[in-house]
Amino acid sequence: MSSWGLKGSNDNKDVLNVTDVKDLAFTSGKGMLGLRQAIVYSDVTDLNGEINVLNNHNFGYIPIVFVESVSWDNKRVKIPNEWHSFYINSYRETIEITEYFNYHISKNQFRMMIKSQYFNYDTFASGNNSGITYQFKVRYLFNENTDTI
Amino acid sequence: MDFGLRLSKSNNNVTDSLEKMLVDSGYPLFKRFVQGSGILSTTAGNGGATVEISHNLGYKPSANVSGKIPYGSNKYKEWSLWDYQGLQLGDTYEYYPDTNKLYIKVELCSLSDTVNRSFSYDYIIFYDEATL
Repeated sequence: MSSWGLKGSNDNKDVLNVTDVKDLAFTSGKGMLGLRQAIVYSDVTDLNGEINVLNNHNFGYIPIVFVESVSWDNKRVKIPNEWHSFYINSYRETIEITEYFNYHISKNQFRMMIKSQYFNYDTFASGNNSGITYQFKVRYLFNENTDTI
Repeated sequence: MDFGLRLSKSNNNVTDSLEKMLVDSGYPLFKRFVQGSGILSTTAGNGGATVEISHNLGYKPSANVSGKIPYGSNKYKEWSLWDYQGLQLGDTYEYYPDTNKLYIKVELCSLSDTVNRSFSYDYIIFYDEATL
């Protein structure tokens, strides 16, 4: 039985003689990652220094996602992640910021989760960073997370 | 009327829902622009270093960077890491694109910046725009 499909080779490779998939720029015989939607969610931390909120994507299946955010010290961080940063406040005290970034995804919803805390190394005071706006930057791929191709 | 190209996975019909497709020209596949690898070296006392990789696309492209970080590790990790060194100090590894370059950056705290260090990186830059 003939095999049907579509393929294109990388530069300087003859598509008729390619036997290694990595020499193909494209093949319908293997799954390829594609973008379904790119979206930015944002929310504000509550009195517990937390964001825990659902956003609907309504795709009806669990997609592969790439997720990132921006930390207190303005670093681009891939999620999940735990990030720490330090600064000197107006009283010349050293403050450590600890941020936990995570997410859950289901067939129709994306849950973004952040916990943001501080610790003062001079007074030993600690607490939650409330009222802070965070962005979750999500790339939903059209590929299903459970896809085995 | 919509025009385009759809290719379905095996045992699926091209009229099935999107996740059953290999290709749907309505949704972009990630397209590789360039990829490569290298070693990022730091000099003791300088606090870290940055590698700049020019792409000159004129927009922020999607990218991904991994490598054998931190020092001594023999396993690949994403270059998006805060690595605790003790005494409430840590090293940071990050990467980010702008319209002309991809930056791969390590910032070392005083505890780990006492000797010259080397870190591997493997990067891939896509034509696809980082719209985020």
